[in-house]
Amino acid sequence: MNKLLVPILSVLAAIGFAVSVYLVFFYTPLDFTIDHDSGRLVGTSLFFNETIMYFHVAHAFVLFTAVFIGGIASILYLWKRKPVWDDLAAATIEISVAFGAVVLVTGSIWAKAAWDVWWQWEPRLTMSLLLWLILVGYVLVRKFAGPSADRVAAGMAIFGMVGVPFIYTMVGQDSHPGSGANGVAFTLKGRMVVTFWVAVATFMIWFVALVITRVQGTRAEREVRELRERALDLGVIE
Amino acid sequence: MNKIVLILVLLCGLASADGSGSGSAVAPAAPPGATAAQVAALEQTCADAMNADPNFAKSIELTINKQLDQQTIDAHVDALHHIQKNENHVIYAYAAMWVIAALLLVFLFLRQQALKTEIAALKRDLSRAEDKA
Amino acid sequence: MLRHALRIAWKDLRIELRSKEIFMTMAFFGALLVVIYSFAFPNNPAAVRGSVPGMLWVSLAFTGTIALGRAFDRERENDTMRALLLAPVPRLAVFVGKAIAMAALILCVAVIVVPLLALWLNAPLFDYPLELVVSVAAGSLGIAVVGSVFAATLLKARSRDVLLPVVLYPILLPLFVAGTKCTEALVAVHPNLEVAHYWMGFLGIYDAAFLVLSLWVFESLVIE
Repeated sequence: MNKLLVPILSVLAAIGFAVSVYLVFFYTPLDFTIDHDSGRLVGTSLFFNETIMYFHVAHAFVLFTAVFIGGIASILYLWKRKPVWDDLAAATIEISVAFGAVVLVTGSIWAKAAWDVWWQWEPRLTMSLLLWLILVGYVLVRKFAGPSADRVAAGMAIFGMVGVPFIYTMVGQDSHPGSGANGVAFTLKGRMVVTFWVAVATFMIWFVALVITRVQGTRAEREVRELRERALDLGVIE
Repeated sequence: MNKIVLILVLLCGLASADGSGSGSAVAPAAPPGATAAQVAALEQTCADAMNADPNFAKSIELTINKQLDQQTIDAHVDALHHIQKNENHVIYAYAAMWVIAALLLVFLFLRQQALKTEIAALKRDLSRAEDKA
Repeated sequence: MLRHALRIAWKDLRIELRSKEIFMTMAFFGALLVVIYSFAFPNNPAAVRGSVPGMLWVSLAFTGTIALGRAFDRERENDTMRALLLAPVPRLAVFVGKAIAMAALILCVAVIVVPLLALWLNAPLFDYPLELVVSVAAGSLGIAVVGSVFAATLLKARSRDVLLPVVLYPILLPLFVAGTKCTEALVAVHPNLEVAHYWMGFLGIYDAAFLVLSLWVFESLVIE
């Protein structure tokens, strides 16, 4: 069961990806008209570059879920000191570095298409960048801090979780579509809703598969460490 | 085409209606034998007739404006279609996503392979050492 | 608890007063930074108004991290941190004492660096001395609080010298942004006190939030 879990999830994610590509490009076509009285565009799906949205926002959802899980796992690790929480936090945050990179890069490209700038120091961009920097710092600490890496990294995750919302309140105007009840997920219309949630589910499954793989990797590392100790005791290696 | 002819005709009328008909190049030539005073009087009659209807001049302006508006709207619609069907950035974004995902997978795969070979090597060495012992 | 904390802070400051090692090296380092700034950036009055807030807070960040690293290295050399943590005082007192001592030390360095900035760059930093002092003090406190937590946690880590800024700067980024915006409002051609007060409030909230968080997690972070 455990061995099959990752392949099953991967296959599910692949199917979901194919389905969501079909949904994005064929099921949810551009839908707009020009209102001649006001000269404005009206419709549910105005621009072709909006097709970036389905994967950009889906990755962002996964990113924030991952960071939330990582933060909670870090708190639980400091509290209970069970390695399983540490493994979970390390895995989710390491994988979320890749998801964060996707969010930033696709977002930057979409910004060029929609706002005609590659980058803007605007709350959500700045917040995502800061979050990503904290994640990269976390991975660096894990890699280079040696024996106390687990505690330092957990502290960084917790402090980072508190610090990120600060930045949102402090830089400029938000150019993104609204947040909360006015956010992207709740203002989609018609066929876009289905497409969007299929994309989110796909990447969530993909993320879970990656995290499980990563946790298995950490276990393997631990096994290597134990084997090395035994080998050292027996004098097999030096 | 008809519209343009109509507009030209109307424009002539407008120019005459302004009372500057004498200088107008398109104004019909005065019939032979007519005095300047007669021509002026006739022109005045025409102008009065056109000015009698206050909506007449306005309707001409409106027609011209509508055409200009249409041109502006067309230009905007062209630009809009260009932005709307801009596929390049969508392709870049999807490509970037794939590249990052592929890099992550390669990284995870390589690490797992390295760990697997190391575990195998260590186990082999250990069992050999334990056999000896 | 506060009594113990003050005693620990006094212990640290007394060591520092005796050798003056961190203070003198950091003050000199800060002065060098100011010299580098005055050559690296255009130093006509208009440009200085724009760049001096950044210089001030970058100097605080650099000197603060190095001072933190060195101060906690002292506890590591003879493993006295373990002794401190084992002492029959609440561990929070250890943290509070350390944070107070560090804040005092960073402020002392700032006392050298900020007038130098005003002097060598002709920056109008002291047009509103009260606001400037309060914001710099709040900034130093924030750096000291968050810094003490992580410097103490990184005590046993390999390559802690490079990891301290890697860990600290992303977390301190909101503080640096708020501090820079506050100073910016104070040295602008048309100073805007309302904006400066807003960012001072922000610094206060940041300090309070991270002080509470630090008090909450310090103990579980430093115990091995």
